Amino acid sequence: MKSPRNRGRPGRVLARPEDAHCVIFHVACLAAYAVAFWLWSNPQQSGLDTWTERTVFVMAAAFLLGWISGIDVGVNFHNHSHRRMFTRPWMNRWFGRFWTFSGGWPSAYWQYAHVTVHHANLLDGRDWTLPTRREDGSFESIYRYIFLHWPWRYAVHLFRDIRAGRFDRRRAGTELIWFAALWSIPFWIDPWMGLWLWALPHWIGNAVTMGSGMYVQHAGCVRKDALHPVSHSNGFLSRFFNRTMFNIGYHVEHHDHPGVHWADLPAFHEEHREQFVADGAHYVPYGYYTAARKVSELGRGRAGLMVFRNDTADGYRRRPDDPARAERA
Amino acid sequence: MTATPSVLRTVEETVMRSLFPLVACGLLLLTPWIGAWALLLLTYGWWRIVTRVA
Repeated sequence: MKSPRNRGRPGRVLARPEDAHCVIFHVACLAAYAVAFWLWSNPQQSGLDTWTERTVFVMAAAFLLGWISGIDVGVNFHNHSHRRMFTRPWMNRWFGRFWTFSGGWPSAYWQYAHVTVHHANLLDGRDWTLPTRREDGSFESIYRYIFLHWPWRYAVHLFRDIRAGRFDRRRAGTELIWFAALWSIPFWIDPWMGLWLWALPHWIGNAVTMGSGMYVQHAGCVRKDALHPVSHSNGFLSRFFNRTMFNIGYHVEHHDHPGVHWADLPAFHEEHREQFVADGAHYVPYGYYTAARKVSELGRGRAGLMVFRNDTADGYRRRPDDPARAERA
Repeated sequence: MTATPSVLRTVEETVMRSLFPLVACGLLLLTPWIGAWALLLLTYGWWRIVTRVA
């Protein structure tokens, strides 16, 4: 993205000062992997000297690493894929490569899937990043989406898009080579460490963290049209959630105005909230974590999804049959 | 020396924005002292808290 708004003053590295938080987040993620690798590689000092302790350590560490990797790509790099954070193109290209490899993605592939496929085709048949739909139009179950989507469906769709020329073949090849070189490093050091503290966290990050996030962002939503201008996404207003997740909860605003910087979304929301509510936008008072817990309750079928869809933040009561909106439509 | 409000605010903002990876680093760094089982317990507790408050 080479728009003038992203070009900072001469000598400035970041397009916006707030983007320093995105860089710090990613560096902290890499530091967490480095700590986990060191603990695994030095059992005498770490105390992980029996197979039982190493197994228990992997259960905890893989979950923690997967959790933060999912946010690092799905939220943090996501910000960069919409608005480049650096003022120089080579920095954007190279930081991107060193950004998503620790989440199991070549950066150009994730950007293509998110911007070109998801944003451009939200909730229509061409958006293969979202859950598949049942005959009645509702999403498949969250568990089916988590276990079947990444990397299996992604790989098939990306391969088809590259073969059809929708995703530039030369770029896809170049970025895949860089990714393979970087992603393979932990396996060269110790294949078992690579499997349990690198590949497994990447599955957790993509399938569980990002998968459940993608699910709740659009669960129960409908494609944008004149009568439903902002019913394409759910909004999440938990202050703790938005402060720790780069304001991704303002998802209705984000899809309608993807060029708005992540740091500006709360103010943008306040400025336009009355219009969004009048147009029927759905806001809940919590974040993705609570939403995912509700829709994934075992043994309740679709009841959890209905509870989530019926929840509404105070002051955000929807008026789905607003005659004024129908008239405007 | 007392930190100025703006420094405190910057530190608080930085910690909040990177809370999840910082907690992950902190928990992992504690492993040599607390052991793998306590790490698993604390990780589960942290996840339970977050899925209740966010």
